[in-house]
Amino acid sequence: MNKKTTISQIISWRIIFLFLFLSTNLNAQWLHDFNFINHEKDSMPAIRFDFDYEVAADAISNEFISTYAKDQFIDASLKDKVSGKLKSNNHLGSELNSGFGYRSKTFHKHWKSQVVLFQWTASIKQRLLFDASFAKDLFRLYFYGNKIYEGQEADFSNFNYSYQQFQQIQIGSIKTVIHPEATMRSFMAVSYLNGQDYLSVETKRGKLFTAKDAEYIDLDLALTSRQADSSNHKFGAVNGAGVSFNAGFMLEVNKWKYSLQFNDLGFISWNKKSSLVKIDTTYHFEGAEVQNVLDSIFIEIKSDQDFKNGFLQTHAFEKFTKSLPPQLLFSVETFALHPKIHAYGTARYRFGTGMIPHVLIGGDYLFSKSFYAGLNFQYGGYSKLHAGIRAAYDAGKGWMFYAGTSYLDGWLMKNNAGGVGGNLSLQKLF
Amino acid sequence: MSHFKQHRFKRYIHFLVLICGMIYFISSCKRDDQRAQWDTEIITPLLKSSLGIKDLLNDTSISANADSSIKLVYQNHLYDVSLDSLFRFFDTSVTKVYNIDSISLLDQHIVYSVSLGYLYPALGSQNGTSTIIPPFTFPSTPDTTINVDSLFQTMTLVTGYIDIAITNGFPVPITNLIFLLKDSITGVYLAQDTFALIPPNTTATKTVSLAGKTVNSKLTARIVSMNTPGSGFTPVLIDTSDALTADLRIHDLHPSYATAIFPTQNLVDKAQAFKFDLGKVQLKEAVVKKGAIVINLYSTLQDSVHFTYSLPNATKNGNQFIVTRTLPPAPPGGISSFSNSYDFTDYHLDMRGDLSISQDTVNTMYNVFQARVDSTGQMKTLSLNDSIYANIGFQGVTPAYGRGYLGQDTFNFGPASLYIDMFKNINANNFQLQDVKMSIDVENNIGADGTVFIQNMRSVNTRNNITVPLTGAILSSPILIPRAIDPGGFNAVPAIPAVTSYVLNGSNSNAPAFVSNLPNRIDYSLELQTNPLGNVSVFNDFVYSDKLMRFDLNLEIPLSFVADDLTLFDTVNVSVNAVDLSRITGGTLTLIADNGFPFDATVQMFMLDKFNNVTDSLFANTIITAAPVNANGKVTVKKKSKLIIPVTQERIYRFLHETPRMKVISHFTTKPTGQTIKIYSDYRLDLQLTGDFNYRTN
Repeated sequence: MNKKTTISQIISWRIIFLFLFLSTNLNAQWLHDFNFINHEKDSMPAIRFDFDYEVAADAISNEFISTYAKDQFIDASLKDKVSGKLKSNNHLGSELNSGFGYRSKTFHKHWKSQVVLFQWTASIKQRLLFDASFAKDLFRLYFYGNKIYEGQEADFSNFNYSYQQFQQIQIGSIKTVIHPEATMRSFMAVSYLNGQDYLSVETKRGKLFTAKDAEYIDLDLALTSRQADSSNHKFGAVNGAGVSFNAGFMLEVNKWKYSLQFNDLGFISWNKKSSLVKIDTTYHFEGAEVQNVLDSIFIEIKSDQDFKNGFLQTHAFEKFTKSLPPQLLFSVETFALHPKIHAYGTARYRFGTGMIPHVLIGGDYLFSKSFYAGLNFQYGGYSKLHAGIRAAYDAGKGWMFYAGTSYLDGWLMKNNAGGVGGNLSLQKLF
Repeated sequence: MSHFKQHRFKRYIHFLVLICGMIYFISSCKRDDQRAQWDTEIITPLLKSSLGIKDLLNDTSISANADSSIKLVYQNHLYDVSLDSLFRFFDTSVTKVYNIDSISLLDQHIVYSVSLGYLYPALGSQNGTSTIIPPFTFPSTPDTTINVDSLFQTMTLVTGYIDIAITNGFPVPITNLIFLLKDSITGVYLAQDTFALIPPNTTATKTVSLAGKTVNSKLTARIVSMNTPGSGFTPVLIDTSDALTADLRIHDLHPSYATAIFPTQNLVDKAQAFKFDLGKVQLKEAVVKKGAIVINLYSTLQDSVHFTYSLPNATKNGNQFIVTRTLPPAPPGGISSFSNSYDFTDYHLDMRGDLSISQDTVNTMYNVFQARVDSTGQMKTLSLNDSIYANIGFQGVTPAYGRGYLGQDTFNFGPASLYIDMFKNINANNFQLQDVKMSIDVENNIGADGTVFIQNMRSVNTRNNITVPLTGAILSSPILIPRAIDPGGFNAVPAIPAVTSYVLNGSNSNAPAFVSNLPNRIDYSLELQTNPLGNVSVFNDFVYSDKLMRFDLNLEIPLSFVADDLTLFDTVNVSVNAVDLSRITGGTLTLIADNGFPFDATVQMFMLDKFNNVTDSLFANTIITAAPVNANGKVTVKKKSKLIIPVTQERIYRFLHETPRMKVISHFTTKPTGQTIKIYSDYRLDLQLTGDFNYRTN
């Protein structure tokens, strides 16, 4: 068997194996964050904690997001800075993952002169996915009010907002085939998802005309909104259930390693307490009709809901199923440049969101066998160009630490940067 | 488990606890009530309304003329003649003690006989033979007791007779027969009489009065003496069974007291007329709207008494009013009684009394009272001293209708006041109505003529203390009111009222000035005379209780006027529920007024506290400009004005929490100045309230 033939055979065999669900699973972060340093440790049982988050936007600054997220007062100058950067269509996204997992020890097998290693994994995670696309007019209506549109029309069509939180219990397997010329690793995981909270708003058509002197308001709105049971959306609330599937494949040849992953292929079925609001209306409002103001002044507005009901068309409670936005990730990494330099590049895309393809390249320097650090640069996603740093440390006795951020500029230049994020991991090998 | 494994397991646990704690902390550190805040500027329409003249002049009837110009129409009662003021049926009762007219007893029949053989034993041997009977004196017969206790025990007679019929069955005449009947118990002779001659086979009768005598149930009869002249020379056939028979018939017994078996008889049978006091009203006919007849009866008779009370002239559906009832026997020395009330509703009363006597009587009814006892076969005691006490009462009788002569009378009404809401919220410095039509309308549903005198009438404006007396011919001449017509009588067809309208306007009175005073009260006094010409209908006046005489004051005010600072003011309640306006930090409310009326309006709304003290005013500027009029004096284009209300948090709080009422004052001045303007039905004042708020949201 020549080398080329052997690799081809192995790849073919891997793909078949992957789709026959006979291969093992490998978590993406495990794949990226640790396994390149100590290959020999990939086969060790481990328990670990991971936390990562990312909030990014192409027009909204970190300062604005921070002020909003911290429930502080958003003053006019802050709004003006953001407003000046807004384009006709804008994006904002966020992702937060935290959890811990377990990886088993390795089970060896020999098959046709190859060494085959099996491991199983289990993890539990808290997930948050947020995605929004909005028009400039929507931001200005929301944060400035409609007075600036007096005598004009504000167009906030094509507004999309999706927010979901869920808990993920994942069981998977990793299968590593060690060949004299290559190492292949495949992974597969199945997750049970507990739906905690969900809210989506989709505005296909949204226009608000405010007449001079506010003599009338015309609203042209086609909106669909679904929301999970709003009476309980705290951590652990059971408002839905679903499954998801993760799979990946890694090929390591010489000093190059290629990996391809599909994450979050799945769905959550939200229960019948979920609400559906559908509005498709043109609403002309000149004020509440009063027969004779000289008789009595009687105003009864119980809540904002009363006004909404003026043009509400459908409000129902029903269960629904919503797929997760699946993510495709491809990465390449190598030590070919220098034994102490680890170079890597990653491209990812999450389908069904407002993000554009996200590309990240970077390099790490191995200062010692137990410590490395490096820089990276990214472009795309929900934002533009950002720089990042990361570092890892093997503290011995099985303890390993990892921390990094892809938004170093976001930490240093809050006013201008449009993204913030970071990740932190702890791992204990046994 | 080895020591090494145990140590590693503990480290697992510690690690898991640490991680779980971090996850929980991250997930739960955010509170729901914490939200970012920012300021927005919201402009929005809030309320809109359109006011016509009906809305501006609250509580007023408004109608349009043919040219769609507006007139105010007002109507209110001045005076309603009540039926009570004409006549009423006072509660009336008829009390009567009915003594027993007479008591009748059954006739008694007693037969007493004595045979020839008994009186003349010597003839016994010649029985069956013919022989000559010589003159002979019969011996006295012994006392024979007659027992009649199956008929009566005792009776004291007012009147009564006993017929003594002696039938001579002997073959020879009887002469000088003395017959004696006495009361066995008292020994009192009831009857003793002498029959001088009774020929053979004939009957001689004597009647003896028993008046004043008391008769008990045991009697004694006896032939005291009797003779015979004999048969002379003619032999007669001797039959010793031939008898002399005394047939005693006691009849026409009317005791003053008796214990006896009484026959069925009416003890009382009286008809009696009685009169209602209706004052000057003389009714021939009436219909009862409601009322009752209460009957109270008391009896001392020791027998069941069946009484019947009837009012032959009171009928309902063709049936006369009649009550029958049986009183139980009164105990000895006691009374039995009965009391009940009977509905008298809807009875038709012919009040001419007993029609068999006269038909000219008025206000009179008559009733019939009967008391009867039945023959029960039982021994009862009755006395002429027994009586029946009857009290017949007419209670709460109100008429639905009356016909007759309603009398000639005078009724004064007032001084009285009529309060008018029409102008209560209006003041003006100079208000001149071009003209008004004021009328006093009388709808007479009574079948009687009348005259009305308006003694005085004054327009009183208590807000400026100006009083304008009504002047004109109406005060010096009466208003003649013809009678209504009632074809066919009671409810045959609806009565036709006579409607009289006395119109007051600028040509015959000072009515425009009277109304331009914008009175909130009219003081007046009236005098009404009925039947000023007397009984011209010859007892055919009529009145229905639900259709009388009604006096109305009507105003028709064409809204064509000149006004300088005509002021409308009103207080309106404010109720704002569950509105959280605390996030409004400031701004303005704008009242956009599209004025379609030809007058300038200055509007201000004042917040009032619970003591009605003014705490704030709303508008910064208050002028709503008049719409222009064309050459015909009519508005064709509205005029827009904006009134600004500055909004602060303090004012919002005051409005929401300290303002239960608001006072609205509007001043109107007609334009062009000094020109009389007309108000048309299509004039509108369109109002729209918009808000321009600084709103702090989250």
